[in-house]
Formats: sequence, C-alpha cells, structure tokens
Amino acid sequence: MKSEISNEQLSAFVDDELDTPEKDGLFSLLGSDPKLAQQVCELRTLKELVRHGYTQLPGMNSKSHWAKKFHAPQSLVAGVVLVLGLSLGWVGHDWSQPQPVTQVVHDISHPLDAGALRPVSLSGVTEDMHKIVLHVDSADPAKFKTLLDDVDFLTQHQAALGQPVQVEVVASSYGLNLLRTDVTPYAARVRALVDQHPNVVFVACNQTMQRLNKEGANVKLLPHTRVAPTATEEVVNRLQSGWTYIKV
Amino acid sequence: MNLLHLMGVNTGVTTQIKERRTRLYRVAYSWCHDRTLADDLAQEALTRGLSHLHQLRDPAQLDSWLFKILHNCWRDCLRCQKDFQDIEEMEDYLHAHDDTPEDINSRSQVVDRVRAAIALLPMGQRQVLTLVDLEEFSYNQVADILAIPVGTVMSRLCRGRQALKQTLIELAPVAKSNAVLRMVK
Repeated sequence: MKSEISNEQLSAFVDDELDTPEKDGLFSLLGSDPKLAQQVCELRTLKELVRHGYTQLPGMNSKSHWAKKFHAPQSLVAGVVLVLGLSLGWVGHDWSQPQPVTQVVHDISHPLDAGALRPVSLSGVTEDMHKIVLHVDSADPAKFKTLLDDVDFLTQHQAALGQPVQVEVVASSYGLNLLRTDVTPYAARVRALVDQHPNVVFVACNQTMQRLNKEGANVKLLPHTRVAPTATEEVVNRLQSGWTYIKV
Repeated sequence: MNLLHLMGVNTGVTTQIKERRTRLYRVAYSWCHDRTLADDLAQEALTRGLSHLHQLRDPAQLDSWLFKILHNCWRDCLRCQKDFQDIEEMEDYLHAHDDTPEDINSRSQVVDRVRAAIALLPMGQRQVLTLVDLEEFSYNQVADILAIPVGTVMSRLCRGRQALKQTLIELAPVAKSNAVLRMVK
C-alpha cells in the first residue's frame, strides 16, 4: 500500500499541492500507516526548519534601518497631528483677531529690541502657492484697482478649482491710502472682499500710521483691517512661513 | 503606521516595494548565503522590475514576476562569477566575520545547521526548495519562475528534501557523537 505513495506525492501533500481526492486518500492512509505519518511529520519539520533558518537574516543595508525610522507608532503620529493642529489654530487665531492699536503701539515703543534686529533667512522654506501676500506701497489708484482685481480673480478662480487661497494685502507708505476711510476710492470693494472671503485679510502698517499721525493726519482705517507693527516685519514673517510675495 | 501615509501621500507602491525587497533579499540570501551579494541581487531585481514594469501583463502575478527577475539576476551573476572565482578572496570572506563573538554565541545553532545544509544542496534544488518553503509559491509558479517543467520542480524538491533530511534529521545524532574528545598523543 505504501508503495503507491511516492516521496514526491508526500512533498506535494505537505505543500498543499494535492487535489481533494488525492488528499482524502492520503489522509486515510496516514491513519493506518504510522511510518507514513512519521515521514509526513519529518517533511513538515524540514519545511519549518528551512523557514526558521531564514527568519532572522544578517542585516540588510543601512537604507532599511533608515526607512524603519519613518515608521512611527500611531500614538506618536496622533501627537504630531495634534501639535500641528494646535499651532495652526493659534496662528489662525492671531490672524482673525484684529489687534487693538494700543497694544501695537506699546510693542512699537521699543523699536530697537532684539526682535527688530533678528537675522532673516529663508533657507529651507518651501513656497506655498496657496498663501499669497500682496504688498502695496504706492497711492496710484490704478495699482489699487489692479490689486483688487487680482485678489478678486485669485479667490474666485481658486475657489472654483476647489483650492482656496489665503490672501493678505499689506499696505504701507502711500499704499496705506487704500485702507484709510477718508481717502480710499475703494472702500466698498475692500469691504465686499472681506465680507465675501474670510481668507482675504487687509493689513495696515503701523509705522506709516504713526508717521501720518505725527504729520497731523487723522488716520482712520476701514473696519476689519488688521494692524501690523511694520509692513516689512509682516512680509518677512509671512515669507518665513512659506507665503508667496507679490509686490503690486 | 507610516507618517507619509497619514499625510495623504500615496505610499502603496513604496510599501509594496519595501516588503518585496525584504522577501527578495531573503530568497537571494538563501541562494548565495552572502549578505552583500544578496542585497545587490534584491536591489538589481527591483531596479529591473521597476524599469520594466510596463511588461507585467497581470498585476496579480507581480510576485512570481519579480522572483523570475531575481532568478535571472542570479543566473547572470553566476555566469559572471564563473571565471573570476578568487580563492584567496573566498578565504578572506570565510574567515572575516562582522559578527561579534556574542552574536555568534547567541545565534541558534539550528539556524547555522539549516543554512549549512541548504548551502550543500545543488543550486537547482536549493532554488526550488527556498521558493516553495520560504515564499510559499505553488509548484506551477515555481516552474514559471525558474522556467522548468512542474515535474522537474517536484523531483528537485523531493530530492532536495531527502538530502536535507539526511543532513538535518537523520545525521544529527551522528554529528553529535563526532564531537566526543579523542585521545591525542
């Protein structure tokens, strides 16, 4: 009876390569033939031994260790995401809340503190085309019109694409006229832009305001305009956060 | 979990390739028992696979296709090595170990014995055996990978296992008795 079963068949049985009737036959034989069962057992042991022999391999090259480092446990990933979210929220909070002028004045009263003279570097900053800071420092109404047209186009075009942009318009020097209630030719347009697009922010340069106030002009800004200590600082901060700078 | 994956970057292919690299390396190592060469072979197989990905007709056959490439790489390698087997270099390799004595000591002797036994098998049997046992390919797949008939796969596998059995199971007690100290005068 045993002669019917070749070693090759036994191997195939161990590797699960036999079809059901063949397997049936072998199983019934195994029950009655202890020697055959012993052979199958040895083959299985051999199979396991071969696998065991190559479970732990002498290390692959350093690349794989390097790659392993990028596999973080789930908790760590969650932690990183949480921190990212918190910091984004904090930054967003700063943007959306117009800062009281008095506080800014207090800040600017020490213009030569260490922060004002910090070295600036943009190395390692990757440009984000969906965050745009537009800078205007000229009182030319044509420039104002171009600027507002651009902002209009940007917001509408990107919203249609489903990739909303964040736009910040920084006005300094003569460009501040855009945001002054008494001289701006585009009060209604600016207001409409801010109302329609929460992602559009207008920022005035406090240094310019101080200068104008000293010269006797009573500077009143359009509502919802944020005040930054200086236009340069604002632009540099944005650039360092990866924003794209466009001078109008 | 992969950080990149969480950030929405499509890492499916990368992950698959990394997994396959380990598997290719394992099989290549079981063929040549040289970690550097095995690493090169796995790398070469992946490189060739990626550059000829368009030739893969059925994506479900990716595994056997990659191992077929690995087999070709290994054959090329053997062909190149034939004329340049430097005995002195082999000696250097055999006696130079990166492992510390602790590593060697702590490593299971069983693993060493298994590897030594597999290294003794003729290459054809070694390839069939490792593809079936380590990678769990079906006989048909192995036949396809190595471009040999299924009958040859079965006979090589059978002979390979018989030889392994001789070395690993039946000869084990004898090997033990060899270790007995003899009187030397």
